[in-house]
Amino acid sequence: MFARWLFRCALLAQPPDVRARFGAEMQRIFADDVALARRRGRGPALYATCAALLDIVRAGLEERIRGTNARRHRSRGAGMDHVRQDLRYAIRSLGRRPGFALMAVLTLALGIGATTAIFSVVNGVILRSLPYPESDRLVRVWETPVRVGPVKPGEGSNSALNFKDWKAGATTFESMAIYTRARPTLTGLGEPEVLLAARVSPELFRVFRAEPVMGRAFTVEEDVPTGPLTVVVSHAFWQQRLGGRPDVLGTALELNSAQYEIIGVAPAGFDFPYGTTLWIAVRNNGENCGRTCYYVNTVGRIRDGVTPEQARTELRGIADRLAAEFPSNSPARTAALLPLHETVVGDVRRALLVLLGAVGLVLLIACANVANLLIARGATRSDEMAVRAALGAGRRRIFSQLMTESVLLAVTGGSAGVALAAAGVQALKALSPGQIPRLDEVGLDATAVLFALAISLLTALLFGLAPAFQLIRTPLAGTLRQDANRTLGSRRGIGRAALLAAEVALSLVLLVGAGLLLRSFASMQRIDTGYTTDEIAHISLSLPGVSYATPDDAVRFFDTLEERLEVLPGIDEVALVVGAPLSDFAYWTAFTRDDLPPPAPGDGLSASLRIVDEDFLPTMGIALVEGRPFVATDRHAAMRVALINQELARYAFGDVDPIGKQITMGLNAGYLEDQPRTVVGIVEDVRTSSLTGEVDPELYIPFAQAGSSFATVLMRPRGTAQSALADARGAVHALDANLPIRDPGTMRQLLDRHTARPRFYLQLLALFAGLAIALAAVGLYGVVAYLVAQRSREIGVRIALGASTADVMRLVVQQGFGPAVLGAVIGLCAAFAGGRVMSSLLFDVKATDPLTFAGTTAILLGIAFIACVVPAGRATRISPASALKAER
Amino acid sequence: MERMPVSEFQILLALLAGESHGAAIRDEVAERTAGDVVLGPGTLYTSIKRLLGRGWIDEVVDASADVRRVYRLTAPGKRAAAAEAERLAQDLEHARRHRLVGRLRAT
Repeated sequence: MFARWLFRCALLAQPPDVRARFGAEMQRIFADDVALARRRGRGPALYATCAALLDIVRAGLEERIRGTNARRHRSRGAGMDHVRQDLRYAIRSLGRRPGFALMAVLTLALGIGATTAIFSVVNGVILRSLPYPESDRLVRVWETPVRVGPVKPGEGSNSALNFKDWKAGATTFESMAIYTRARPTLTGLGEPEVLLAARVSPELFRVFRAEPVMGRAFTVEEDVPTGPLTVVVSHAFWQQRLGGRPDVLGTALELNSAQYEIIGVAPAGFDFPYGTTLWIAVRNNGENCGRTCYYVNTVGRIRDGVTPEQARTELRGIADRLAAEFPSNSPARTAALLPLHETVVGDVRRALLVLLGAVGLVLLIACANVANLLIARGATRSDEMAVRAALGAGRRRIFSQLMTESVLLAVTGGSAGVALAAAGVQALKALSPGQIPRLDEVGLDATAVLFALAISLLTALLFGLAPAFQLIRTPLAGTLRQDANRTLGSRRGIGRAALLAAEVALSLVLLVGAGLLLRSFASMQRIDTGYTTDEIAHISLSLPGVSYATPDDAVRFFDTLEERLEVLPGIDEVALVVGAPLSDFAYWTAFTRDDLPPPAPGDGLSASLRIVDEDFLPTMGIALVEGRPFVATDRHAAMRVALINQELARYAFGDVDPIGKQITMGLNAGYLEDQPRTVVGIVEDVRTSSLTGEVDPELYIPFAQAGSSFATVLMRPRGTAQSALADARGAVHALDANLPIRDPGTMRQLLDRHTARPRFYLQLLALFAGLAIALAAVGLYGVVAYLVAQRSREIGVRIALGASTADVMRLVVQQGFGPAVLGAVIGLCAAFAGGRVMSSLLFDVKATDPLTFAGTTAILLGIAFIACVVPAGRATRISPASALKAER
Repeated sequence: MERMPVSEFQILLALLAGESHGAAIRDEVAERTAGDVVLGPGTLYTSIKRLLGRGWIDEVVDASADVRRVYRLTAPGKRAAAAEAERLAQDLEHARRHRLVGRLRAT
């Protein structure tokens, strides 16, 4: 769509006869080119589009020059002479009015710079393919619930056992691999350190075509639970931590107190999954975990020529066959598949495109402003043009002269814009919340510069064509006479009024967008999570299996730790949780109601699982609605109990009173779930997984009955959170000096992380809206001030004839404010119609929120009014005598 | 005599084999020059327009009602292409005399 529009614009560069005769065929070739290149990826498609557009513009301009020469001079080289002459003349003419030139270049630099900066981000994050060979064939696959319902998580993961069958059965795939995240502790190489690692199946490096540059990848012998312990290190880790020595192969790294032999070094830059420094074999032990245990992530490379759709269909077939072969009680699942690129950037695509659209509007406003400046200047130049025409310059020649000036302005503005964009991209990277994927890959590259050049030329056409046509269409003979009819009612005036209205309309669209985001952000800040977020500090601990072999060991460790923390002066309350609110980590488990007959295969229930101790609810301030809370005697040997939230009560029990009912859970967090659990209480619904989504059904079980070797310790500090964290660190290391402390922080920080992205979008859109309003206000002011200057004689006469100050004000303000009101009406309609693109970015605010629409319109019209009144005030002070003298 | 632009010469060469339409001309040129000369849509049709203007090629009226226009080399066009080829051959001969390129292998 957009490409076709660009094509039409570029075609304008061609002489009309070529356009009429060959336009359709050019378009067909253009479309073929783009379609062909698109098959090779987005980067090549973009390149092909730009190359073809430039070719059309260049060939068109050449043809025009040739045509002019042939007709006028029939001599060689005159075309180039003309271009040189025009350029020289343009530089001189712009130099004569440095204020005008500076204003125009600055406006264009702002518009082009901002657009190029955002384009760089969009290009780097969304358009450019992932940095792996033939990355368009990489896909993520996982098991997904057949029916949408409360069964949400597990999105993105699947069972390791099912993976084996998928891999064996899928013919549309070249290779397939699994990976999970790991955070082993590295010791023996300086300070103990937690590293970001991945457990992967041997095929991972083949899937990404990233065979180790030194040594080898894993073999199937290493992929079994009894296999040798081996590790592949990242290129950066090899360079920085191992000194880049070639003899590291065969030496050992101590991870979680075990020796891992280094067998390979990954190629430079390869860090999938994102940020990985070490790869260890996953030692696929799916057997003990089962077919409904979704904990591995799967990535694959589909065969050349196979579409993702075909691969998805095949995997679905296999998954459905497996579901029939191994019936289970948990909710039925089937296969899902998405291109890897999609899963990496899917979340931010809409927001970035909205931002690109917004910044495009700013550029349009900048164009309108420059066009306005040019028209204003054109009025003072019509005499000059008339003289040139009288001396024998043809209209075509004058037109080309005017366009040369526009192109010169645009290219100068564009160059400044590129510099601005370079700074802008750095600022964006600094400002971003670290949650925009691939942002570190973004930079101002050749594509962005090409883009800046292309939009510079396009803007030259946009802002230069109308004024140029207007100038050469003015009857030349009449121009030398005094033109008394200088109001917005004249043809030139209508053009300017239309530009003003367009500017105001575009600004209002942006302002409404920013206003909606602001309202949405404000309601996000007001969200009641249902629990305390202030002042709670937290650390996470993961006990290595080597020193803590049984669930009893884990329970004993965390009991002791809790006792020691509670007596510290800096800490008031301590609680344990697995799956802390807003922490991105949560178990999801299938369960059955024991008072009902076993469900049909695939019809089971599932819920989010939180493992908490008896202090969790009071520390977090979560209320118990019914029944009893957990107590200190809910130990492993006692009756197994569970709490549920209101959502789970609704979802699984409906009208039945859940208290006293028994359920059986499918997930073993430490101890085996070999006995049913009795529901003893109902907890209020709180927002634990996300701030803005639906509340999940949640199941709580006592920590001492789960025996998890991983837990988050929550602490309400007496003093500052920092001192509580320092205290906790000391207490942990007194118990186990080698235990690394993970992710220390506060609940407030976790909460902020969830609002960081919306805040980033809001900041950017607010910046663009501010820029738009400033440009529009300058434009309005300029037009009205210009009018006052042009009509000072008329105004002087009116004052002399007894017009009051109010009359003069009304006369002048009408000229600027009228178009502004018209623009506001158009802008409101456009914002109303375009609101839909915003709706997925909004929370708790409708895209047609009347308050936002009314408020922003009032603000914009207020600013427009001031921009008109200031020069109008000056008009009332015109002294009739001097005005009459000044003109001529 | 002015040298012929590469795009025009290549189009004439492409039409030596017989009449052809725009997209096919472009594909033939790209293929024959192994991608060295790729005629963008603008260059292609402005060149065709100039060649038509000089009468070096003309449009074939195609009864098959295909919207694509088909072009054919005219006798003057063939002569112009031959003259250009001759000039290029002279340049090549000169380059060869100064051992800039190898001699043609005897066939």
